[in-house]
Amino acid sequence: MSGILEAREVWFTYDSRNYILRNISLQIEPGRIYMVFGRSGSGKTTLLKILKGILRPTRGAILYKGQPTTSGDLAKRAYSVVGYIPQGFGVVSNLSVLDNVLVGALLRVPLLHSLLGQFPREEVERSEEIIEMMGLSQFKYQKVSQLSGGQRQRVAIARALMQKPQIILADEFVSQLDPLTAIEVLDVFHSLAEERRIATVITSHDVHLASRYADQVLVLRDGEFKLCREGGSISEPELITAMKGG
Amino acid sequence: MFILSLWQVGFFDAGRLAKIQNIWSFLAEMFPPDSSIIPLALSSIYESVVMAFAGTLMGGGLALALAVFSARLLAPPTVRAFFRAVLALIRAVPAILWALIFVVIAGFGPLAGVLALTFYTAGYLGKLFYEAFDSVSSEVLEAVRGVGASRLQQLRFAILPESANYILSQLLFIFEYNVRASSIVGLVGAGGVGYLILALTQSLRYSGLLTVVLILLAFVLAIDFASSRIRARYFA
Repeated sequence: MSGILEAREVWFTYDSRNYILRNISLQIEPGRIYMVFGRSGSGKTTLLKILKGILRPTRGAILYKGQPTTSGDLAKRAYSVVGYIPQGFGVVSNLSVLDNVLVGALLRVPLLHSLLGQFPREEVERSEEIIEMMGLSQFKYQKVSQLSGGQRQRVAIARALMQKPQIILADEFVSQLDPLTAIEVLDVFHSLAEERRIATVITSHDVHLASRYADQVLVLRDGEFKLCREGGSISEPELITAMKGG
Repeated sequence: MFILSLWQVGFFDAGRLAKIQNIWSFLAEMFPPDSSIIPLALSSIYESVVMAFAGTLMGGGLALALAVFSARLLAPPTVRAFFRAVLALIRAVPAILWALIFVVIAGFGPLAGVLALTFYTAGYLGKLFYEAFDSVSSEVLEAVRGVGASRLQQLRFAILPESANYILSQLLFIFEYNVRASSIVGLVGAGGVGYLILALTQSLRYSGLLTVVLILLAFVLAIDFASSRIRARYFA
């Protein structure tokens, strides 16, 4: 199966001495859930930022459908199909749920219309469908600041879905949630992968969820992939050992 | 150092402090307050409040525009260095000097006062606003940038909403300040109650002056109280 997005031999450093990522290669295929485990500071967030195009690799390349994303047009196209949910969800607390979700459509709406808050009817209808799918209909006009952590997370997923993404990158997505809400949220990603063929890359340090949801498990330690296995084929002790090293 | 400072400003000059007895004759002439001046005082204070309101809104608008070009997240380094220098220059000029400048340009009256308060407000709020813009969570910005939002869209959908509470809170605060400042700018002929205070002082009508000061005090306390309640309730 061919990858939508690929990291090929990616190295990254801020200061040209200490490498945060070392020779990382990863091919992201449609409809699969990738879980990247690692301790704090192992390079998980940096990897997602590079896949999203927020950071540029120091060495190596990011390929979109087999083409390096070095040209402006291709980078922009790759950029638009990758939804990114940062660690704190990145939702705008003073905007309503509907407005937050509509932010996901900004690339498709003419600048002036978007600044005036005039979104095309089909975009509003689509955002309402996604809000309903996320079980947030009753909060549609409520400010995000008034929602719980789990609800905010759903708003962040809804915004990412509004982009019509092929891939969603979610940073430390379940760490801040209670186990039940974490499972609910991961169920959403699971059905997105099955029904819409959306690939998901989730970073986490919660190893319990790996066997249940991951199609592929990766362990990042000191900026390198130390382990890369199919989801069902790895036990929790193995995963913990790989994260700790030694 | 403290003693030296007091000596330097003439604090120990017995001759000068001897004039402190003048305060008693000044206070004696203030009582009883002159009630006949109440209608004029009320209309002058109303004019001051209107000046403060207009100056706050116009200055707030100007501050927002200048802050956009001064914010690290929105403007390139050379542009923001220029606009930050403009804001610093505006802030360096006190409100009363702005009033003198606009009295020269627009003549005596409340228009000069409104323009003075507008510029003073813009200088003060502009700095606070660009600092607020720059302190918006980088995660929120990354997420909004991540959907492909342009800088203007980032401003509209992330920076302004995230800074809105702070902006409104500061606008209320500067309105309180401007109500007091509008009395000061009036002293140089820029309209409002300050102009009335000046006229009463120059004509030695101290009983009328006391009436104006008491009404002004009541107004300022009421506005301070309302403003602090609104800020505590909605923007805490």
